[in-house]
Amino acid sequence: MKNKKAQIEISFNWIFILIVGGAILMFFIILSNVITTDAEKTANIKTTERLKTILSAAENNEESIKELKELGYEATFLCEFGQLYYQIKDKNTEPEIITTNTLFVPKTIGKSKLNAWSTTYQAPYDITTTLLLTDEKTMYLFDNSSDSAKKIYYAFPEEISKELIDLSSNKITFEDQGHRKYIFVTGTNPEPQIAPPNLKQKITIIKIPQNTNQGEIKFYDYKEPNYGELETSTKAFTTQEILQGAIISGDSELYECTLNNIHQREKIIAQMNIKRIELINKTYDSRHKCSIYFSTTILTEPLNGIINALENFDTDYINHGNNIEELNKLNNELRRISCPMIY
Amino acid sequence: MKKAQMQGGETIAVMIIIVVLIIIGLVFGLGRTTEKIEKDANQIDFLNSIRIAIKVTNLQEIKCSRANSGGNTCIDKYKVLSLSELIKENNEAYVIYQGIFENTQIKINEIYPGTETYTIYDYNDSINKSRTATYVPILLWDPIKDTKQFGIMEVATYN
Repeated sequence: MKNKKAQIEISFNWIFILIVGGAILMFFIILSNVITTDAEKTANIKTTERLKTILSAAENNEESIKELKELGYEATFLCEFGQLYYQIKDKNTEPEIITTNTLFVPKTIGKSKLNAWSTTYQAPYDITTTLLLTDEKTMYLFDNSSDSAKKIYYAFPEEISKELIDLSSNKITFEDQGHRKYIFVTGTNPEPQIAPPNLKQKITIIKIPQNTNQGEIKFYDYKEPNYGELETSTKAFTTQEILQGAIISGDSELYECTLNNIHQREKIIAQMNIKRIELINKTYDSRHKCSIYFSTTILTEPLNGIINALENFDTDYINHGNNIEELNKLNNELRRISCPMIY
Repeated sequence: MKKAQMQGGETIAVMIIIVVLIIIGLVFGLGRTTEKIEKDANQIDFLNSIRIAIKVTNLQEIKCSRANSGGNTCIDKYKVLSLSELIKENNEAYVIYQGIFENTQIKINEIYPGTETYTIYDYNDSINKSRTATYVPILLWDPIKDTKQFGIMEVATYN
């Protein structure tokens, strides 16, 4: 009888040990999962903040090229409701808004060294610093037979992956060197044919005009899902800095997204300058030599012209350019007669 | 019987000790995690305030014209006045600068001569209402009188 009781007791002890041990093990497994998920979220937040800080610092370095550390992950950029967002590829994270609204970037960058090239967009005064961000895995190929393409090739910093190639036969023949994206820049040739069909999804062709300060850019892409025919999209530009941004981006949607943000800023600055002229006019005596410029529409007319041209930029870019020229002349005149300049 | 009761008591005592140890471990671990999260949050706030201060001090629209440049720190007084008026009156301008400046107060304080203060932008929808301020010395240029004044630009980000 006592033996039986002892045996039952031992069995109960073992059952008890198994149940409690199993419960403790389950508890620690759940806890470690929670900690791992939180650590991942924290890491993603830190990465996001770090990228934002890098973009801010690079954006505010005037006219410079900076090589940044390798981005250990791939980021995809998209335009939603007129704002640029980026998302870390292969991670379950929400798209993050880019606060740097003047960023020209290809659709995907990462897992390689980054190059951040900042230039100043002027129209004619400084509007904003534009940040052109690309990576080693995006290759820019310029048509050797086109003067405008060669001019942009030499303007591109050496740090960016670029090459001069021969497109004179209307066929693009090249070897895939393992880059993620190939952006061809051509000037004088008609729509080229792509030779290697298996590389269609990696290719974008950009046709630029002879005048690199103003004109229309044509983007040619093979679109998903079949990468069948070339799809074209035409966008306008003014200044070589914006043209360079379009080439760096290689994507008409992302280019348009950034350009619209830049133009919004340009419109606001033009309105601000009009207000400044009105404020200065209130301070001047009507007999002052400068009051003729500030009390009439001499200065505000080209500023209003710029604002109106920006409303339909793709068709009105020539007026935009003309008003910028006019403002430049007036500013030089103000300088000559020692009056407060616009910029 | 007594032996069984003692064994039962031992088992309960062991369980209680294990539970107490687990609770102590959890409290300690949670405390460390909370501390770390607070530290990370403070660092993010600090990085954020630096990021916005850099943007504000490099704002092209309020810089002096090139002919009268007093360097990177020269700010045109009339551009400051017109920008702050525009942000107050124009909704589109307000939305654009809200996207650039976020939860920030940007003020320019004249130091010498003069003691005027100009508020360019002020927006705060944060819960904590605490602020991190960055101060940047500037030269404030009057384009009509062609005079320069010492000033401080205060960029305070709300956390």
